[in-house]
Amino acid sequence: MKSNKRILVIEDEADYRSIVSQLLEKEGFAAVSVETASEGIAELAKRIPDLIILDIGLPDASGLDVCRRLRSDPGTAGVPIILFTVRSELGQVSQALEYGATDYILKPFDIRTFVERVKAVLKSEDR
Amino acid sequence: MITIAILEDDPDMADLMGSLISGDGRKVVTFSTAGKFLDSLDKKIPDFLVLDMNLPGISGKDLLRVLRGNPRTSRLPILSVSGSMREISDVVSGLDLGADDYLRKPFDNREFRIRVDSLLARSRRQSAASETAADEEIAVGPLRISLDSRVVILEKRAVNLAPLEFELLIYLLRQRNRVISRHTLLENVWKGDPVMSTRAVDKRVEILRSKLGKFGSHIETVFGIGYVFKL
Repeated sequence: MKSNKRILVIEDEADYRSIVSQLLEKEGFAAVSVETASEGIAELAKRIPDLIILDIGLPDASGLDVCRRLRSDPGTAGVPIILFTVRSELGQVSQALEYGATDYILKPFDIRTFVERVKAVLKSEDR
Repeated sequence: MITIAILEDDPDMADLMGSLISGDGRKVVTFSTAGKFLDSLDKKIPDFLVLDMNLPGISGKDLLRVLRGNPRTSRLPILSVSGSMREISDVVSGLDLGADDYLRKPFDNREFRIRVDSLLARSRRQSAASETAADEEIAVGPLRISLDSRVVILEKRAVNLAPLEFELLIYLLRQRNRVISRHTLLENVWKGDPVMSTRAVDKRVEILRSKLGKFGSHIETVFGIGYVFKL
């Protein structure tokens, strides 16, 4: 199933970056991965993706702050965001959802759940 | 007081879910069968439903169709919970049929609580918004509708709709991605006019589709049931 959807992954853990890229590519998406918030912002300046997968705990910024920033920038305000989070950070997630994150996925994640949520978010954004 | 209904046939799971989401200002009511839940709707519609998609006797998908087809429950916030191994398509189609969010079992307890809280907060925001919106504009893709002045613009050109077509379009848009039965449309758009039949619904949908041109293909026919505005 080929798709021309582009997904930007902002995730500092190398193992997760690699699994996520593989899963996304297997589903036919074009995935770009970066390790830090600032690299993510730089990528976004180059090209706006169809979806951003964002880790809530990056080395240089909190996912919450990144969410807020993306939502206040008209260029990225409309891009859906899925947050990666761990159990201990679930409290932050409800705040992020208030600030405009579209959905979240708990790490460690079930592969089917990951793929389903990505597809569901992309589907609901399709016009 | 918010009433949260849990429809789950496994009593241990029902207890667990109940304890995770109960709290101040919340009343949790559990039902072990779809029949009991549907009967309870005569007395009271809950503010939220946690729906096990694997109920014996009726599939979660069918129940979702029934709930979304009934105007009294068409906007009920629903979190569907699915459990068995083979159900990839069940989860995604559960969303298509009108669940607002979903979880797989086994789920993380805290995640369950947060998804319920988020969905409750979202639905409260949405009903507050629709109450205060006076001169509301609906924007969907290339379509712009001004509710006050009843003007419909499609790709920058005005579309001339009869009053019934306008009401029909608004209703379908507001229920987008939810399957609506002809009967429900008769009740809500034709206001239960006893002279009208479901044939009138079909005719009007056809006219609306043709006036919307290519965009009209978003109104899909669901055979044996009715229509859905897919977006």
